[in-house]
Amino acid sequence: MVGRCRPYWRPYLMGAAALLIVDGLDASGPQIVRWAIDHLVRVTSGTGAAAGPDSPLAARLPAAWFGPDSFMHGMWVYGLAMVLLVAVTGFFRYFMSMGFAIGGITLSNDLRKQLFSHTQKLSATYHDRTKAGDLMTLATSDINALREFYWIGLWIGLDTLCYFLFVPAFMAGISAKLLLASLLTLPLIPFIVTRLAGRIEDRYGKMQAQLDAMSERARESFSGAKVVKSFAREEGEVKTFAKMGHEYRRRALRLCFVEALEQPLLVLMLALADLVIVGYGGVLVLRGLEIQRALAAQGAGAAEIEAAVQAAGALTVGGFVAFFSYLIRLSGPMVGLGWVVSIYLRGRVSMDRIEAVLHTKPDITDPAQPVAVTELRGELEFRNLTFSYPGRKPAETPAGDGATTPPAPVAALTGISLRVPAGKTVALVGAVGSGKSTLLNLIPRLYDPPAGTVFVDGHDVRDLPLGLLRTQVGTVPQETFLFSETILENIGVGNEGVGGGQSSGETSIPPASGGAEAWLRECAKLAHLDEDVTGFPKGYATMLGEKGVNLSGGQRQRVAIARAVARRPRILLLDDCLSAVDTHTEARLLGNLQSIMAGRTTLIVSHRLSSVERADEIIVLHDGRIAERGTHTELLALGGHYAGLWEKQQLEQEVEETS
Amino acid sequence: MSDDFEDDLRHERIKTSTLDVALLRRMLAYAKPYRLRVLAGLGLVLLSASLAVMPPLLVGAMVDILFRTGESLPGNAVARVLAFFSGLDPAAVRAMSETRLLATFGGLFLGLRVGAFFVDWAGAYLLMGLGQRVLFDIRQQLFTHIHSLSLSFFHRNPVGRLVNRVAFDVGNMERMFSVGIVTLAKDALMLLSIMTLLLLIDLKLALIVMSVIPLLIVATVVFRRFSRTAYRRWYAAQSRLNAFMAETIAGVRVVQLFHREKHHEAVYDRAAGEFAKEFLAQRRAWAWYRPLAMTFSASGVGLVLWVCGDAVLRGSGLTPAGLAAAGAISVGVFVSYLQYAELFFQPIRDIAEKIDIVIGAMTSAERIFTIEDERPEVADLPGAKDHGRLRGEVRFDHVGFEYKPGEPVLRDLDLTIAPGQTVALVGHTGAGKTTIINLVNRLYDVTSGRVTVDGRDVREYQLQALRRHIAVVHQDVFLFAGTIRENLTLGDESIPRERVVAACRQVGADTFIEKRPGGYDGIVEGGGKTFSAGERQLLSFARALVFDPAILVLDEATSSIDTHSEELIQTALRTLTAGRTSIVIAHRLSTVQRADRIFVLHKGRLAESGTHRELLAQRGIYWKLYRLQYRDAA
Ligand SMILES: Nc1ncnc2c1ncn2[C@@H]1O[C@H](COP(=O)(O)OP(=O)(O)O)[C@@H](O)[C@H]1O
Ligand SMILES: Nc1ncnc2c1ncn2[C@@H]1O[C@H](COP(=O)(O)OP(=O)(O)O)[C@@H](O)[C@H]1O
Ligand SMILES: [Mg+2]
Ligand SMILES: [Mg+2]
Repeated sequence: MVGRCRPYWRPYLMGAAALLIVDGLDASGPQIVRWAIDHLVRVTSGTGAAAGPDSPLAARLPAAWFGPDSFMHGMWVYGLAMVLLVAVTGFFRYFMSMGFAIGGITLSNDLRKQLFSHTQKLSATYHDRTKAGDLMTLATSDINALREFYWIGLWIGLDTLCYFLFVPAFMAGISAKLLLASLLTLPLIPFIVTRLAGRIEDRYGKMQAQLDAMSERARESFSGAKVVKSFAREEGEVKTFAKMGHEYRRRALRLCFVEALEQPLLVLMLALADLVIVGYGGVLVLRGLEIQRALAAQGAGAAEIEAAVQAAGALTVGGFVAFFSYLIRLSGPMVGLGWVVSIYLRGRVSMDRIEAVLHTKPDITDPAQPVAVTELRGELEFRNLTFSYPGRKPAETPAGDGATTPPAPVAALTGISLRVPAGKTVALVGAVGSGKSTLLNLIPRLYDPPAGTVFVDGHDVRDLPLGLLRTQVGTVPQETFLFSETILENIGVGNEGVGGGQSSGETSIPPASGGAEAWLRECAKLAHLDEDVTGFPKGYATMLGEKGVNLSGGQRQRVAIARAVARRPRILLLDDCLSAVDTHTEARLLGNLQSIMAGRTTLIVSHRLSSVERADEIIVLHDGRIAERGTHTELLALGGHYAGLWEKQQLEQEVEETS
Repeated sequence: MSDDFEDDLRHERIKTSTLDVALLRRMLAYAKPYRLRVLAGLGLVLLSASLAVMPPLLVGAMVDILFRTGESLPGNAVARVLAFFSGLDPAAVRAMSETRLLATFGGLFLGLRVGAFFVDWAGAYLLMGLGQRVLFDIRQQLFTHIHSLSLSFFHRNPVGRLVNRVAFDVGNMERMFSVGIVTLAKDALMLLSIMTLLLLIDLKLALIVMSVIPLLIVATVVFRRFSRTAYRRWYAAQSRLNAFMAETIAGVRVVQLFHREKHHEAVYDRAAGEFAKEFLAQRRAWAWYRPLAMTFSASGVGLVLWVCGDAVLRGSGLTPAGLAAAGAISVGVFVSYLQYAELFFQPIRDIAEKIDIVIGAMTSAERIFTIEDERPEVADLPGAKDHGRLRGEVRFDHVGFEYKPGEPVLRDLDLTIAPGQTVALVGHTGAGKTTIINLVNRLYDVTSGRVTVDGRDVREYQLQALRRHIAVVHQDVFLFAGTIRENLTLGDESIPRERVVAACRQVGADTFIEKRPGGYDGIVEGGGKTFSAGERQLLSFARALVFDPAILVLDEATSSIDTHSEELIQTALRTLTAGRTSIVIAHRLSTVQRADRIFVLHKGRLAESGTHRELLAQRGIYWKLYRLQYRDAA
């Protein structure tokens, strides 16, 4: 997990370097205290009053500063040193904080970007089966957990490590023996941490899973607000949510129980160290004091006394107090250690979840060796196409007759063979669920057809560059999805470079030039949208709500038509694109569409035979198979399903006309 | 609806409070139901804080008593305080042997640590538990409140934004309780106890140590100002980013079909860049503040070193009587003091750190309270009643309506629907048909005039009571995650399975449902994307029938359904609509013509009304629409 930081070494290096300095300076703070105390003890014990400078700090400064007649006995030097030390540390602290913050945010941002780009690439098959809320949780709470790790986690982790190295080093300088004795408890720490960590990881994962479920539930519930309101189901929603909330609370409390234990337990480890310092350290000080007194009686200097105490392995009072100070300084990192472990574990859970998505290969991608074409003519062919949606199993056979062989997966399409010459129009009609939309979706590879079944210009669609294929196919999906942008953006985005003749689709500059906008307006006119839009106060700059909520159903559908037309597609797929449009608008739109469709290969699905009848060929689908095919007249002559529908409409009309 | 719909959509509007006290009080109000727990928790925290301030006292006493540095000071302050707390007689302590003293001090240290362990554990668990309980309450209250708001609220707030508040902001605000209060309370209590001890030991010295506090306060106030703004921007950027991502994922098919990936990445990059920028801005404020706060607190320790050290030295060589007069202290007192000075600034430093979390929590609280303060535009009026099952008479009385002020969608509309009648609404797209429906079940309130049901203004009904009897098949279908059956009953357990199956049979949805794995208990995946659009519409239709409404509203409910299936539905409907009022919106005139009455809307006005025959005879808009539809056939 830490390996991911490598590309971001600059900010981390800055942070780590500053951290080394900060911790080093910070760990030397008690030294000043130690010197000051020893200075005092020596002076007050009546022995060293005249002994002159005695601490490493005082030794480097004029002796007069510390004399009996000096200003405040020179104690101000220690005080000032202390403040300066912290101020300088503070300077580096800034770089430490920022270094890790920059590293953490860039890393986590890039990771989220990766996730975002990747989910955009995953095919409809994946999204059919994945809850949008789950993906959102990854992008929000999991990324947040990782940001915490790559920012605070690494920072405090390194900090803890440094403290555990620096502080004992200073302590060893005071008394190596005491240090060894007092650190006897340390080996217990990894043991405790690992024992607790497993439990925390497990409980945290369970709590997080419940939070995901709740976010997803909230998302659903708010998205369906209109339904919830219309059916007065608010109470039900609230109850379900409360039930989930209770479960969340239960899991969270289980986590709290161990989490609350972790830090006090680690701090308790210091209790043993305390005991050692008090008992063993106390003995050492007493011995040190004896030596001090003995030597002082002989009139020895401060430096001499110091050396003698050191040599005897004994302790001064200052050293003793400093030891305690260091111990207090270790209790922070002790707590930090527990924290880092939790953050790390959370981060790891989150990373696993994110990587699971990142490692999902997009199943619809550019072919390894795409056919070298830059433009499509628009000839379409289906060769004996059979397609079933992945994961669709047939209904389970009732228990008891398990002996029968399981039936084959229900195919959405079976044995479809159809050729549409470039520029021709083919209409699809058929009952709900007969496979019309499925057939259309296979052409731009929203779902992938089996190899060797769907061809454009004689090339298997799976061999064509995906970008080219999709920019040259214009679809009006059966269900309109608009984005929360302006109307113009909704029509225009994705068409860049398409109108200009270069079909690279690589440029991502929004349509800014007047020429592009004029074309988009032209398309809106073709879709019979212009009249409505110009009626809005902000016209084409009108911002849409999510999914275009502030438009009427028909207006939305026409935006979608304009959007498809705007890319000057070679192949136009109209999936029931007039269902929400009134007959008046439909009639005028159909007129316009005729001119758009001229010269483009068009597949049109409609339940209104009036929109279908002029097609070059009409296909009647039934349960995923072609039931009837031919021109309008041929089908009428055939006297099948189509003729039946037609007759019904004729009849209805005649009855009304004569009345 | 708000006139700046657009603005709302692009930017979140957060009511920022300038008065932190008010905000804090409102946040803390959530803990009210748990008073006892809070008190118990605070008690433990107090205990823990007083245990935490003991060690320096012990160290000082050790220095003076065991190491005899303070022998010249019989009435030494440390010994006094220690005696006060431990109940040991100072004289008796002094009389102990060195070994006994060592054992006594060791025992005291051990007792302190072990005591602290249990107290800290219990306290943390108690207060974390409080946090979780409060979290549940906040989240539940927010969720309930959001659902009480009107549809227009949902239209101007992207779903991603609302989810962000319910999931992230609530969790973040909870940290106020689990982290903020626990540590802040502990820190504050520690400060208090240390101050008390410092004052007990030496008044003058105590004042010197505390002299740096005003500096700290100033730094904190300045930081708070910067940090609040930075946090607000950061969270707003985060919410924008999330809403954008949520939308992209929802529309991923269109993104792919229209090759919009680049565009969405560009927009994403902009939002993510802003997010990072605001995050770092907040961190920068903090990175400035913390070293400053630490330097100030170090000045306190420095002052102690200087002034106390001087006091110790001044006392050297003096008699006990002279010592007191000179204001001198023993080395032990000095050590205790120094340790206290350091300990004193530890909670301050800690507060400096935790204040960051608290400010973050307050920022989230503002975002939550902004929603909490939002009042539903459509709500039960005082005196609203449940009038039981409706007969189904609907009247529009000079109704005018506008979504945005100044943009009327319906004008002076008058229409009457008798109970049990089937009426049709026809008109061009955008004429206002769906809008009319939205007024009947009060998804919106009229701007002028009134809508009555059974002779009563719809505003005289309790919302729930009104809506329970009106079932709408919306133009756009929404399916929830869950089983097919749950989608049809919307989780209402009291609806028997037979009714569900019957409704599906009536609309002809039974065949494809039974073909799916699991049948009625099969799971609806990906928001229903694995159904064909027509199948989804049939499910939505069945849902309306399951609720056995007095008024059935079909808003282009058969638009994606083939003629044959529709005919089956029509036949079924003839029995289904018996005894209830039906309002049908459709473009296919074959669907419309059987209605008892047809209303033709044009640009928000009622242009024509009558039966199919009457309208044809009028040769108006309806006639034209009709001609168009059958032109080719004629
Ligand atoms: N994404 C999907 N995953 C699984 N099954 C699907 C999916 N989309 C459609 N189906 C099923 O495939 C069949 C054909 O659907 P479709 O092509 O959408 O029909 P229609 O002719 O109404 O457009 C239906 O039975 C439908 O339930
Ligand atoms: N939520 C909304 N906010 C703003 N304007 C809206 C909203 N819903 C619909 N409109 C506008 O009101 C008009 C009438 O819409 P609607 O009633 O949906 O028409 P239809 O007759 O097609 O059902 C349209 O011009 C549409 O743009
Ligand atoms: Mg379809
Ligand atoms: Mg409508």
